[in-house]
Amino acid sequence: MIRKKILLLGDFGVGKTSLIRRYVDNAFDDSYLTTIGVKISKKHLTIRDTECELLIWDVEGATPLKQVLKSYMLGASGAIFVADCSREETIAHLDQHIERFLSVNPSARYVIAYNKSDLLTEEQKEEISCKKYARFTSAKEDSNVSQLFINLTEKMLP
Amino acid sequence: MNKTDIILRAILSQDLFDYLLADKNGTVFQFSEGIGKYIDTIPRAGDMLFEYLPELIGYEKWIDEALKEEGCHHTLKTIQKQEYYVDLHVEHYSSDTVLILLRDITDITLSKLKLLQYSNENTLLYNTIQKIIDSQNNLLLITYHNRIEYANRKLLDYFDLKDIQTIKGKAFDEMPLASLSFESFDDLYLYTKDREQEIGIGKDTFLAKATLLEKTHKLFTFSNVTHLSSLNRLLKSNINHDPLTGIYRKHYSDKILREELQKQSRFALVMLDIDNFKHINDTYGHMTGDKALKELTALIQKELNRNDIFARWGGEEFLILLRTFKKEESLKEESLKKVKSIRASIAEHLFSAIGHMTASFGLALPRHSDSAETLFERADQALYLAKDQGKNRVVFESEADRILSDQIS
Repeated sequence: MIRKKILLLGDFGVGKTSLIRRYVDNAFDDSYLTTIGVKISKKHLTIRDTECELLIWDVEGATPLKQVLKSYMLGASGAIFVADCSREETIAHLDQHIERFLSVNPSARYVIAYNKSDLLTEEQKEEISCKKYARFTSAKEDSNVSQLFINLTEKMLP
Repeated sequence: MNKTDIILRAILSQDLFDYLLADKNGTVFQFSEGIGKYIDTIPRAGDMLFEYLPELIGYEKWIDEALKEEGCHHTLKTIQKQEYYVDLHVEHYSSDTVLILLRDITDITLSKLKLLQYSNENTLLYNTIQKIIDSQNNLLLITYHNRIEYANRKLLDYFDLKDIQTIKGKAFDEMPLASLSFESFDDLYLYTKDREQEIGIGKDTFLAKATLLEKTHKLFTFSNVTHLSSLNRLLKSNINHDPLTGIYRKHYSDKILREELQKQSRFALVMLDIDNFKHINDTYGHMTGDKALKELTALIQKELNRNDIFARWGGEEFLILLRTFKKEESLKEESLKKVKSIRASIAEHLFSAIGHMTASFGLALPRHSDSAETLFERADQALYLAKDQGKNRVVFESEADRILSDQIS
């Protein structure tokens, strides 16, 4: 079995915890509860006949005054960068998060989630120019969540 | 008992720390009693460290360093374990043992969490309010001392300013607003406090309105109505102007005529009609007729002063309000001279496609008892006689009266 550490990174309030909760427990709660520090969840999955254990790090979101500790990023094989597609500034900050993570783990793989897609119409989504490796997700409606994690795992496998 | 043991017992007695001791293979061989609350199984000697603390996967290098170097110390902060929060310390114990300390920081972290929750919720709210403010009209907040306190994004963008710091604390004359005909924010406030006022900034038109906030600050809103203003002007122009010739329409000249009568201004009313225009239309077609009308109006406009009003009455009939005179006593003479000049220039002009064309003119001067209708009637009578007497001529109203009297007697 292959064990991989991945992190969910992004601004606060973009839905990182909700994505993990949806993927690991298949649950969702509409209320916003801030994450402090880090909490680890585990998830097993099989990709191309390879059993994987994902150690999913739910990391406290970045705020204008506080960046994510680089010590959390050590040893990570991948990351999911999360933005709230209804808040433009969280999309604009993605590059900073990616750069910070890759400075610690240059060879790590990543994917991007434009979360809370349930808040936008199809027309509004079309107006957003998606970054490479990005997809719209909704933890609330369970849209594209599993695919997000599977896609990252596929990228991390040799 | 070595120094580490003494320190360890001291801190453990405060219940602040729990600990694990693991060998270099990652096998746990000793732990404090309280360790069980952080993991979901009952700890036993011989278990693997990473099963208890998967957080340390990826930090194998820290463990290697701790085994090798005395005094080596690494910390992983604020890790949630079950319902607790801990700081994980990886420390050197001996060359074949690593010490993992779990410092319980639950109480202080939960306090921080409340603050962080409050702060994040407020940041989200602030960001939303900021977006609302920035999407509104241009806003400018001025202090009691007439200094700029705040400007929203829309206003900053309009003046090409990077951020509020560029103008914060500045006075009226240090802003691009200084191009306005006001001397201070107080002046602008007095002008705009009761109702929206149209003001020009650069090439643009704004509706400005001042509101007093908390008796100390003045909030100015500037709505850019440049587009609406020009649209308004275009609409007005379309309403007042004849689409074919570009000169005024009848209703506009009527309005000016009534105003001039009310003001008892000095002016002369001229009515003119193109002679035999139906024949021109019938012979050359309406397209050529329209071209002739345009040519004729351009010709007459050259003869007129800027202050005179020239309007299309309908069809081939026109109306002129002559409003520019040199001398008090020569109203009639000057008017006649001007109209005769116009008549002559039309008669002498070679119109494209149709050659020569003439027009007849009736001229009347306002009297004290005149209404628009009575004045029109006299000018119209004079025009009728000009036509009746053979066309291509100018008839003054008193002349018309005389001729009519002669005809009746």
